Amino acid sequence: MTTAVSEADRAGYLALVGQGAQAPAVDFALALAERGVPPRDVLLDLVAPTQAAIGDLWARNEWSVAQEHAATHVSEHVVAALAAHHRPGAAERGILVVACVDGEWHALPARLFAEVVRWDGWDVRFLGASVPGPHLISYLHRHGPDVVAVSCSVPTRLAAAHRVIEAAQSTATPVLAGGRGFGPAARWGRTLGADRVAGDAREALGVLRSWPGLSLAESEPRRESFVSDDEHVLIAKRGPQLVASGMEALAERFPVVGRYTPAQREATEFDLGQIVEFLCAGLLVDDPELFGTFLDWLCVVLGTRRVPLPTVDLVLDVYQQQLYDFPRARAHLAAGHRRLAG
Amino acid sequence: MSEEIMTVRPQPPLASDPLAVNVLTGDDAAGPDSPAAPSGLDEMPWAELLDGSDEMIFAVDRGGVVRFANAEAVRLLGVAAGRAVTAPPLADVVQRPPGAFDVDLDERRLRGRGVRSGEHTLWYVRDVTEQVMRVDALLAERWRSAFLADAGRRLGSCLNRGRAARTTALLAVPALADCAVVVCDDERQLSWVRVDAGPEDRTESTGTLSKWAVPPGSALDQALTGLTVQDDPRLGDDIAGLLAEGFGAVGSAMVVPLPGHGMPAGALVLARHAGRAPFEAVEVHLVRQFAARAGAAISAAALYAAQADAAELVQRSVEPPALPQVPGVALGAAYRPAWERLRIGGDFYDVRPGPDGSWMFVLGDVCGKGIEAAVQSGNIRQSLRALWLTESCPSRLLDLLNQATLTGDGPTLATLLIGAMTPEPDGSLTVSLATGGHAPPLLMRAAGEPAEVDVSGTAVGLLLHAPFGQAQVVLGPGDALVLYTDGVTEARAGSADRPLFGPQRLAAELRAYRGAPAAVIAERVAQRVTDWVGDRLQDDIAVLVIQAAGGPAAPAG
Repeated sequence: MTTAVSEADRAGYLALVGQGAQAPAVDFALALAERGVPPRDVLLDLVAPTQAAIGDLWARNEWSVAQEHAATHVSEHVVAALAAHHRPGAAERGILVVACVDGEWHALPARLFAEVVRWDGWDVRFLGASVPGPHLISYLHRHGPDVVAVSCSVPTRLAAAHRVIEAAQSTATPVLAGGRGFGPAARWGRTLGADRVAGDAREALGVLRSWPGLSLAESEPRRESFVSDDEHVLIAKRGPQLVASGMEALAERFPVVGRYTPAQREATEFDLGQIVEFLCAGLLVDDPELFGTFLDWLCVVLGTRRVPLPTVDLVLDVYQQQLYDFPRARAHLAAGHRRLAG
Repeated sequence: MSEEIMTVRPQPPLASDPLAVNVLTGDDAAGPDSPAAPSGLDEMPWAELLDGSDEMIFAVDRGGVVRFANAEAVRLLGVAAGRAVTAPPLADVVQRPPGAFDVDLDERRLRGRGVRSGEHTLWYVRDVTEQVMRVDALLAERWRSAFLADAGRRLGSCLNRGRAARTTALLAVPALADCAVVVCDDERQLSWVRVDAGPEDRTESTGTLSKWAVPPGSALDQALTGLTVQDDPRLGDDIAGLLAEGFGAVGSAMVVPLPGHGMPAGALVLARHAGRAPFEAVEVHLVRQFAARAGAAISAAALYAAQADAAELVQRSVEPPALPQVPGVALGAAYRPAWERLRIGGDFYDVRPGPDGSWMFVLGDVCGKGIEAAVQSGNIRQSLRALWLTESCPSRLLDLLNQATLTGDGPTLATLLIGAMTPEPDGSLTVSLATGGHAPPLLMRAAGEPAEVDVSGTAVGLLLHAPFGQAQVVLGPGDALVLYTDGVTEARAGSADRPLFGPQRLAAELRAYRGAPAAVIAERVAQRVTDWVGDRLQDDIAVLVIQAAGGPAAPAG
């Protein structure tokens, strides 16, 4: 019996959550902690990687979305059970607010982080999924925490994250940005002006521990935007037209699209809308890698659902033509094209 | 500057002063670069010419002895021909290699340059005192404006009193003083935050003080009643108790009120170490302007806190309750208010034990939005909690609630579903329910299509003897009853030409989640609607899912 989470542990746990077996999954996690695995590691080395694996299983069409959600639901219970069984010691490090940005409904990663930092001596206030900006700001005004951690799991919420970071800093509260939505090593959090960033919960622990003079930190409110044009805003406004022209081109090229059921049509429109949203997110942080990574993922999702990949090429073409007067958007789309080809 | 200096040509000889001539016509003057003196130049009154200059001009030989000095140099610098320059700071200047320099001499700022010319160094010095003072005053004024602007910006967006007090102290050190203490009047006591300039970084400390601990007539006492206490040699002892232990001797200090709404919000204590220049008149003015900004921020934050306290109480009283553990039943709920600042709205649900071993539930929607609707929904929940203690028949409950609502003060119009559920020994769940004008719930059999439960009735708060329909369903293991508010089916994406979410999409979603845990179904419906709307919910969403948990729910594959 080791005090580290093994590959076999993860496989066993994945099987349990895959069956939606709530009580056995909770027992499994508690038994690991009993065995001597620090509760922190149970969350970060068992639950967190399992959530990532579940996402991949859905992307590869091996799990249904309902199964994915049922599994996540089980993991939520596991986190709650571990938190209840392992009470934190005295909270001596200060008050830390954890909030998912507006429109970010993936609360589990933030919840994991909240529990882990609570065990690390912080007085944690977990505000949950999709915290509306005004609600967060009035909370910060009311309770004056030492730091606010904003979580973003999908890059399409980066614009909301940006607004929240700025608003939080205007209350003189330093901001730690984290979550997969902020990209590799959370580098887009830095772009958006967060005081500190962390690629994952473990890194965040280190960042919080070594944040010098946190109590004297004075956030410098940013007064100007970091990208000079407003392409991401303008293109987001044109989203519906872009999707419509994308649908038109698809129906022309692939007659089957014309015969789609309303539900299929809606699903396709949703996909086309996602392409626009990720493009805008990439433009916001001015990093073509964002859109490229999304395309990689989209190809996996569509490929395993037997959607012909030339459809993506076609849509990128249409968008590129429509956005002839948006040089940065064209560059991102062109990079996306090369990525699909390569 | 220095380049220019080094290219200055040697001066022509000073013919009328033998000494000077002797000095200045050294080897260099006769060198190849030197232009031949035009005829008649020897007769020029060189000394008079230089004496008439506003500039101080003198020449020093290699031995450090002044060989020539014009009238201004003699008058203002006190140098004299034939004597060495010995008085600082000029003595240091002439010993250095020639170049540009700035020195302060007797309240004057002198700016000069030296040029090597053969065996001598020629010095040209101007009095720039006024010019420098003008620039210094301008810079100081600019600094003060920037300081106040920065203070306004930092304090203006801060609505937390503790943080506003802390920001005030942080802004004041080291800009205004070496130690700043912000004392806030908490009504019950005084709370203080102190920032000290440290060798590396500032240090911060906080604490509280009983109001009785402030001696009457002391500087702090005066400031808390609105009086500014100017710098005074005795002030250091007066405020010593507020300063850090190792602060040492106080050079100068000020205690100013932080103006609030009617009453001062607190006081700002500033102390400078002995050795630092005392507060000048212009600084006193600056401190008062700063205190005005800080006081406004601190009192606005206090006012905000009072309002927010009230709002938070309302919010807590009406926010959706945690679901109880009901044996044999899996419950799930989701709630998303459209009015976001307080995260409450007019939709509500509740599940509580009934009077006869059954469990009661309600899901409803008060007409209207925001805090008013939230408060009314809280009232209905409260009424029901009382009624549930004695009555478990859903249609009878609706009738009672209707009467209570119609005889109340304000008109409340609400639609709701009330039900009672009783787990049966065989694992099934008997549910009787009645509707007050609310959309009928959807019944999801473990195998089968989602179907509406046939029940109808009038909204609550309309007619005194309104008819309320009642229905009974039996949920087998895995069957689920889905209650939802119209925010779900009537959700529409941003533009009016987009379709409503509608009952078909809801049914399709339930089909895809058949057999999933109740909580997952509820959350999924709310999420799907949120995605459908895309941007902002126009109406609140509430979903309550009741599932007979006869056997372990198998998720859809």
